[in-house]
Amino acid sequence: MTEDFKDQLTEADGSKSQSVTEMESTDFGSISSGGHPDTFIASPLPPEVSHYGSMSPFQESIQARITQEVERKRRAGVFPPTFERRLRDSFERLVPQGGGTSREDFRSLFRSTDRAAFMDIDVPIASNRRGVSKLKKVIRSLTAWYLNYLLQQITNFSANLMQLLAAMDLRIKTLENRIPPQGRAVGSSIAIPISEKASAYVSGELSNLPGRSIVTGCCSSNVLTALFTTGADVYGIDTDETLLDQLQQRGLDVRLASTLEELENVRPESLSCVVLQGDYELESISKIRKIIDSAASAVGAGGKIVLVTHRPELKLEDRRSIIAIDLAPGHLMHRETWEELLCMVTPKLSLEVREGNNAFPERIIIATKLTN
Amino acid sequence: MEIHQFVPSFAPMDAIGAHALSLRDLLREQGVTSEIFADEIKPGLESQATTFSKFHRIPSKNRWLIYQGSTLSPMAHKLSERKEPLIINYHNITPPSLVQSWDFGASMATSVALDQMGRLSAVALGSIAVSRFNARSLVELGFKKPVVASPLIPHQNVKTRLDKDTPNGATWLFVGRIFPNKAQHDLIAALAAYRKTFDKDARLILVGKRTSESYFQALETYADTLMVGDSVSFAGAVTDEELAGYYHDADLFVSASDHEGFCFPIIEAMRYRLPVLAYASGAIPETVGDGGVLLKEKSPFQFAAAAWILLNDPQVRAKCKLGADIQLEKYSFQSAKVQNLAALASFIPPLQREL
Repeated sequence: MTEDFKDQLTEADGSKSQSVTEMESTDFGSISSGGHPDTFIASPLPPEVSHYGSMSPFQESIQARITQEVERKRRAGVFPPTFERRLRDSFERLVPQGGGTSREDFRSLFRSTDRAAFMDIDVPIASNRRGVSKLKKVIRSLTAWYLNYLLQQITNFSANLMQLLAAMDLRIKTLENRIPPQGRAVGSSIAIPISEKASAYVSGELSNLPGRSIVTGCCSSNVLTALFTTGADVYGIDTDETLLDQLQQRGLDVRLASTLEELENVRPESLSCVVLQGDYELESISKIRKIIDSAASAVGAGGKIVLVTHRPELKLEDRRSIIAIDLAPGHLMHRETWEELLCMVTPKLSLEVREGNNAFPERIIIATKLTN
Repeated sequence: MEIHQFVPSFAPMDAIGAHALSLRDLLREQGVTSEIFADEIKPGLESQATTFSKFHRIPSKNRWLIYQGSTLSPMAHKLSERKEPLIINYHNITPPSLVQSWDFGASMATSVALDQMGRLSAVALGSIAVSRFNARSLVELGFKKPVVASPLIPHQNVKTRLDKDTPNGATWLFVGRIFPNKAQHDLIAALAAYRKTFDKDARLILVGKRTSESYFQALETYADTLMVGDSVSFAGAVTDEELAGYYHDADLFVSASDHEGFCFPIIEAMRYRLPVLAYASGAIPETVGDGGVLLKEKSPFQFAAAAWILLNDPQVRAKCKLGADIQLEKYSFQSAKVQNLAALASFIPPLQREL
């Protein structure tokens, strides 16, 4: 061993103890005694600490400043919601429908798999080296009984597998044909308007919430504007570009995004409140479940999920509501169904249902996320 | 005593190759017989490594094997069948989901590579990860007690750049292969937001080999669609000298990568005193420390605002500089030497006695 390295090792002893302290302060697990300082014991792994939760005070402070700057720019109209959407959509259009996800990919993959399913027992025996070709031929003849037996079984299996895939493709195709395409034509983007009284009720309930909140379907009510005027840290999302532009001109922080898309991209436990309103209540049950699940993940412990829904027992007679209900993939649900759904999706919620004593046609459900 | 390394693809200008070379030299300094064997040896490195097929067929009791794991390799299976003790030095494997849409073949390969790595956990004597993030990945793959040792990044004398505000004409730089997991498209979106809001003359230089042609073409089209095509340059693979020039002349190092097992270019940028702005994915938070600005969310607006603050607030840059000094010390060659030898010695008793 070189003298140089002996010196380094002496230095390393000092730095090792530093390293132990550093490692012990993390959530990775304990350090084996007597082993190398950075030795891991495979005891409970923390969830992705590298992403979140382990930022230093410096990083947290600069992050807050960045967020402030972005909000300021949004409110000033420098970052219009449509621009953000355009940035995202322009690239999404370029992403190939690869990996067998598109119809064309599937066909091409199916064809190549079908070709690969055939196995050739006629092993090539050609060789440039003298005598090797003959040797190979002898080996092939000697092992043919064995390889034939195996190959027959493999070929049977491959053929059956391909037949199974073809049958599955047919069944999926039939299923796909039965499902109507999603989009505005079937009313998935049409929301029933929310009354002034319900908006005032919701904003009154949430005016003192600490932390950041989101109002989904923000163009269908005055909740966002009301919360903003109380100085709450709140932003809204909707898919109606025209109405969003109007809200932005009034200095509100708004973004062009669908409810599920936004909630799935929000950092876990980063919000204090999610107000669900607008077209979500007329979505299919599976989509509503996903939305509630994402909302529950987005709020921290003690955070609230407020569901503004319309009561199916009350007949809505304005033109927009009639169209929205008739064309929707889902339907309005009763209080009991909402309660069941919320408990089913996220058991860690305590529910409180308010109906405003018939003062407004909506039902307000406030769910609080419990601590673990 | 013999300790040999096995590298799937041994290439110049490659972090794993550089690490393997430095480790070989370090072992030789300790009097250990050490060679590098590779499945594939790229031009320029023929004298430094031997093809795997020429590796000794007869096992030896006095021989240890180190597999530099980062990708799919036929060597992995063969090494697992050897009688000599095997140590894994893990540099991480790109998750298939990040590649699937662009290159189904590559995603299958990374999927099989992860599977292959998992199978090695049953036969390996021990494992070394170049970051804590990688150590966690190793545990997920079934390895029991991974040891963390920083990668050996050879020291280079660099001409550091002068610190200055850059309100106009800022040059952003990213160094990394053109591949979907590096998310260069997010940098292009961020540049578009930055040019629209803060600095209409800002530009982005993307240094790195085109590993995915379809992704590269999409990047070009995307830049044109966002009207920043003239402001985004694809430098391709460059020489050491050219790379030094890019680091020296840039104003900001940016990374939107979705998955990194360490990210050498961040340390290189710090050496040049280039401010660093990176999305906090994979091992990046531990590599950056407080030596740059980390973003929790990958929004083009967040990137743009952060870049503006970093490029025009000398106090923030000064704090990052202090943080960078700590990171450069933490990942110095000397420190990595000690860590790697100690890590190997914990698995190789004769080496422990030597030390």
